[in-house]
Amino acid sequence: MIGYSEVIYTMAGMLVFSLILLSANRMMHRNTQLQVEGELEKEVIAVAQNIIEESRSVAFDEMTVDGIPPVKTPDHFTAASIFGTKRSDEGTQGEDDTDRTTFDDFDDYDGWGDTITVEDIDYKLSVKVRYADATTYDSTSYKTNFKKIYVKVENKYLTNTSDEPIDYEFTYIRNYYAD
Amino acid sequence: MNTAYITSFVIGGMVLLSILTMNFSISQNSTELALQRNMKQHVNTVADMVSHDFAKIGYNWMGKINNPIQSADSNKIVFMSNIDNDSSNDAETVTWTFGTSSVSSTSNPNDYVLTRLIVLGSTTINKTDITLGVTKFSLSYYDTVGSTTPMSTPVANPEDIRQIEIEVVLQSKDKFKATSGSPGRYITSTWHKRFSPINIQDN
Repeated sequence: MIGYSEVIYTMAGMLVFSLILLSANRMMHRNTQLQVEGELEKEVIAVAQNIIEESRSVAFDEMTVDGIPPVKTPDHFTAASIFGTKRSDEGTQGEDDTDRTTFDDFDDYDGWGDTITVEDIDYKLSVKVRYADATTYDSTSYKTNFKKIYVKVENKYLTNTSDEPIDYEFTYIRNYYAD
Repeated sequence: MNTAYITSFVIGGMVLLSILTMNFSISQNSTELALQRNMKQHVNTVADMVSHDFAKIGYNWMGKINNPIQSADSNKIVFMSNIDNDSSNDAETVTWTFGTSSVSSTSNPNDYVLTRLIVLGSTTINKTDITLGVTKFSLSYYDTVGSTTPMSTPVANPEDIRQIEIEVVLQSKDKFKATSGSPGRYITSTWHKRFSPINIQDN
């Protein structure tokens, strides 16, 4: 070992440096990952907003599509159990729960889902609509003058620590009288 | 000289070079991050301005404006809106145009001037030239909510428009070079949005 102690010191130095290098590489990789995630999250928000804005542009309920208010609100609104396009009159009008171009009221979006591609990246969307309590704004099964839309967006590149896709959920509450 | 010293010097030299390379890489990564953050801020600025105007298409104090979109092309849109929410019920004409003249103050040959023009009658209220590195400002129009088939541009019947889709791409003013010998690339950030302005819907 005599005369070679400097080599051992140098190699020990290299070991320490290697650890620093690994850490620096990990940091740079994480930075790049955050950049990409930031871009994707921006798009996730835009995609969800598109659906929320779209749902706001149609009537509040199937009973208000013709612009005439129902005799009694919220009693005459559609029951939560037949949200979507499950009403018999919606079926005869050609409304299809897989084709949102046929939707004409807010709750038609309930149960709708699709994969939207933006810049070759897929975003998986699923939507549900519920009545919302007038005081707490929590979802309810009874009829109120408020409906709440939940838009869930998933992207395979946006994952949690277990490598499972993160569910980004966006909500919007619509009031019949504030339309 | 002792072989051990020579070996140590060689290995030490390699370590030193590695440290320098690592330092350079971290520095480049920081630069890229800063540019990316800058681009995101620019995209957000443009997105905020566009969202402010497009959501208000056809809006007026006393009710919506009939057929507010006057012309619609892939790089230009003209519409009516009471953009300043003026109680006198005067609607302004808002024009968004993506120009063909490159921004001279940057080294990027792909960025063009995006102009927002607001006119009331014959008086120009506001003209804003956006020179934040916009390389693409593309407009698509849909006559049905949720449709996947855009209308052909320029749109012959703007009164049929129900949705407007915008794609904005911004690039950095200067190229980012990962190494001194590389050709470099512009840092890019994009934004897509499909607007469904309430005042141009059927109900």
